[in-house]
Amino acid sequence: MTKANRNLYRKEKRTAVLFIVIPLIGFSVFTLVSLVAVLVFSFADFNTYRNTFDFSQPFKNYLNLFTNETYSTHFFRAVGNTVLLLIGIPIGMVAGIALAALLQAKAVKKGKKIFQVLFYLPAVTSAVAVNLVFRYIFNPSYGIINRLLDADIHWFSDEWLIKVAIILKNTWSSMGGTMILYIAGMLAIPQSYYESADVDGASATHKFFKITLPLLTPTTFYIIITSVIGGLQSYADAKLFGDGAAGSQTIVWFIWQYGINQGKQGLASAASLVLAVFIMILTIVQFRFSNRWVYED
Amino acid sequence: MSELTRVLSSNPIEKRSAVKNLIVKILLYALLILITFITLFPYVWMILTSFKTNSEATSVDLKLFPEVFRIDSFITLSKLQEQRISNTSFLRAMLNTLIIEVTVIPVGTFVAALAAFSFSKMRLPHKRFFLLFLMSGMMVPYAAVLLPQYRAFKAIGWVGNEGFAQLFPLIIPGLFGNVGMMFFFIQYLKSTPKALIEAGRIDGASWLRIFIRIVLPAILPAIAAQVIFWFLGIWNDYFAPSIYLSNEWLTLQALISQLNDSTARRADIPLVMAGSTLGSIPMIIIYVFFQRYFIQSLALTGIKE
Amino acid sequence: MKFKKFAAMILSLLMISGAMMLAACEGDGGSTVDEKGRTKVSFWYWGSTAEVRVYEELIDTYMDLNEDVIIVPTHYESNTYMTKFQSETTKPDVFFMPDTDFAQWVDAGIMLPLDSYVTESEINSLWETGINEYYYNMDTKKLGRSSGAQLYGFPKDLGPVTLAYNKKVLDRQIAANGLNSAEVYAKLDKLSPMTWTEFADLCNDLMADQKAKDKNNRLYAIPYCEMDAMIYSGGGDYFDKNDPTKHGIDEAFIQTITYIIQLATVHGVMPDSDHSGQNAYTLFENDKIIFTWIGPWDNADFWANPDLKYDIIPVPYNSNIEGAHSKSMIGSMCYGVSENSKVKEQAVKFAKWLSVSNECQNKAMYLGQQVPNIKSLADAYISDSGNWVCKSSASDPVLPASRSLFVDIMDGSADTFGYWAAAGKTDCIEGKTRALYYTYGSTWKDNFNSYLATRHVWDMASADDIRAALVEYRTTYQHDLDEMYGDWRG
Repeated sequence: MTKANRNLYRKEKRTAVLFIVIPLIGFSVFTLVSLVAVLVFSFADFNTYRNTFDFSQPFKNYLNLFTNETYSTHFFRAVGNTVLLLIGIPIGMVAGIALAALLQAKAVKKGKKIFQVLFYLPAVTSAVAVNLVFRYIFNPSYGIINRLLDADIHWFSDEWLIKVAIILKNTWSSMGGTMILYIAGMLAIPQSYYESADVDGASATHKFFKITLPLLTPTTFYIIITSVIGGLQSYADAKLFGDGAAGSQTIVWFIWQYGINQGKQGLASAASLVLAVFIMILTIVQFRFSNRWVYED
Repeated sequence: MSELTRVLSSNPIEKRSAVKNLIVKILLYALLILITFITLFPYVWMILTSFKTNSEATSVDLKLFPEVFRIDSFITLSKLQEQRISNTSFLRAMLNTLIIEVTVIPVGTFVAALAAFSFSKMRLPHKRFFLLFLMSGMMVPYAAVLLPQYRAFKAIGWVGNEGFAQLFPLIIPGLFGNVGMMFFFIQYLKSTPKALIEAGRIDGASWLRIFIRIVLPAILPAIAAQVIFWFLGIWNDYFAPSIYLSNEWLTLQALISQLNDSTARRADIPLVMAGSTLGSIPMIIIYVFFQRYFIQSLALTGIKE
Repeated sequence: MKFKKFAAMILSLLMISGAMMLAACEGDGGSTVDEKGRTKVSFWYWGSTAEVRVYEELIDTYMDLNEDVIIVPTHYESNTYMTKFQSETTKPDVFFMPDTDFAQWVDAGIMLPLDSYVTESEINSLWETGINEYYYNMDTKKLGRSSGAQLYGFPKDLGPVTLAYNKKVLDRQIAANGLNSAEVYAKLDKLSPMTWTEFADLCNDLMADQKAKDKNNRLYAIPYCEMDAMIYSGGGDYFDKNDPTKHGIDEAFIQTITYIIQLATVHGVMPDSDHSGQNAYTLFENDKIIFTWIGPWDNADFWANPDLKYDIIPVPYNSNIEGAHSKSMIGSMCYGVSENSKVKEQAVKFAKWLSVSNECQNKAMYLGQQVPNIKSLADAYISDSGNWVCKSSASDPVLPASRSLFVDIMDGSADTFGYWAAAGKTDCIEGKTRALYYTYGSTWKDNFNSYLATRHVWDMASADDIRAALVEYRTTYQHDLDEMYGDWRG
């Protein structure tokens, strides 16, 4: 390598580092430092009401979270609710893929685009509006669902029914986006696969389960990752839709309730860290796992 | 109709399969129309309710349409400050949201694209390390770092600030780029031929010049796709704004949730529905006009990542 | 050199953001006087739109009286107020502090002791229940006025909560069920509280026509029960009467919870879907329920609706428990002054004016905001025909007609108006501060409410089941209380 070349490389390296320096600073300042702070807070008796900040009992927050029933009942309920609400994800995905298949069906030609545009509408509507409208729709005293069914269903006070309501709402708002992703995935499947299946005389169902679905696994995988990570961080469901009802409280709601509302920042930090570790492990596992079953070329 | 005539005029065997096809078709369309109804109903209900009186909206008897279409709620919405419902007027909330959009997105996108360029086309030392380092940030939930960030912003004087600085907690972090976006650009750049850049190098252009003249135009579709969703994300964001903002600095979504809070004891449902309607309309209009772009962009995102 | 150019660009970007930060900090600092030399006093409060108007008027009045001061008010929604307050590092000079959070914030050291700013006669002019609440002994962690305790807040008002009825709905139900109007109204007397049995019977009679209708299309008598008021009137408490650090799930407590739940599950006069009363005001103001729970501050909102005719009655009591009588709950709030205020003198002066001046208290009374804090103004509250905002002509009555009942709840066993003596009875109506005032944080109560919801106690009809569920909860309840006291008193 000539000296001039080496100089050129060195300059390129320097420039390359310079180009990523802003995101590096951003990440360090806003995420890394904050994460370290959360770690430190989680070992402290840190109460913003009383201005306490000491490390005499470093594990108290974690013990409170997991073994002290005054807090653990609440925390485990929040974790349980958060995890149970994830059931909505496969439901939304089935709805989405069904819609995609419906719109890709040979019999459907006219108005395909219009349907597609309409079904995606909920995805561009704000979570605030969606939650407030559905809160009104599910209101037990004057909501239209109880009116129409002529029933007296306690959508909010029952810890199971509120989950049903949230899952219905989330399916409604997520199926359009899932549909679009699946349609894109379907269009990317080479026609030749289907043609050879036609030669073998395969039925439409057979083709769907044996060709379409396996080839859509990268899309499925992408949807699962993004929705699970999003789902674990859900807050609007508890705050806006459930208005803090026991059956709707999620982990992020717990963090908000104790950390910001009640000033128990030590406890909330411990919960934050548990959530962060949870999501990190899940992401890593999902990436590892993906190599095995995602159908990629 | 043409289909019907064709069915009727064809021979018996063809007719049977054609009839079968027609039935399938009718069933599929019926299903689609049903789903359309389910999708649209909440919007229809929201809009109809916003024209009702509160008494009608909370009535035990179910009536689809208001007795008289009243625009009272929309009038209230235009006088939020005069009526002491909020310190932020509706237009102001929209302006606040737009301020965040136009400051964060151009800068943040440029920064992310530049970093992506460095990662994928330049001889970046410790590339793997830096990439993993940045990507690990995507795994950290926002809620987890909220508490220390809140305290830090509070200490600097952004939280509770009476002026423009109140918006900084929502603007400044975004200026440092969006790692998810950067990752997407890296994926997208894989398909940009290296030769293009080599050519630029031979011409003696600087890296920044190559980035602006060659790379940016090449990844324009990816940029557009990401900008659309970032715009949508900021527009509809609620968690951070509801925690950081107060007084006349609320964003649109924070304002609408405040309408709900301020009438919590005496639920003013038409007002909340009117707010939700007006708050959703701008985005819906943008979507209807650019729907092809939205859908293509989402499809692109799903395939690339 | 392109490289230098780029470095310069990044540097300038950083400098711009740095400059913005600096500008932000400067904006936050601020001086204590405005350009006209008036002292700036910041003031934080919350309230409904009607209350905001009241405070704007009060602040204007104060600034007219004190031209050297400018009050800078900030209004938050009631459910975000404490969040904002706790995150604010420079606390406002004067602020609302609810009784429920009072002790925690005194312990936090942000509330200025006010004893040296008030005279004994000023203190004596106020309702004892109101002023005594805001004494606290930081060493012994004991609430209330005792030796060593200091005053940390001026009472904003006392909020006696009681049942109100909507006249239009009541008359409609009397007619629909063929009841004798005079007999029904006789039961709604301000001096003779109903027993729980009488109240349930009355609701049953009034709702007889509705019960035949299907569950979803009928009206109810009462939207929910204010738990504290019911527990006090049931002769019980959340805590053991002899040792407040022990749980209070005794016979009286169990009977109370049973009664509340059975109003819904057995009597069917209360909906079983909403236990927090979220829809209560909407139902009441739209003539869809007979009773609801109100405090004096609700008058301002009710007066805005001239078609709404209403009156108040005492909280019914449990005659099966010895010593139980009508004892409602009193919610309250105080004006605190920041220990770190740079304008303490002016801040205290303003807070004190809001709390103990005749001018302010009269004005707040006429605006439908509160029963005056000052005992000597009580007569005006029940008999004055003055400048009430609800009166457009002299003949307009001031609602609710029985508003002396609010005073009756506040004054303990004192016969403030001589009504009891005149009726040849002894005063059997009083009030007690809500439970959260006596504790530190709301976790213990939130957990209890969650238990009632998640254990489906609200859906139980059998008294035995309810009893078993409550008895089962004793250990957890005690554990939560121990945790709370550990937090508080170490």
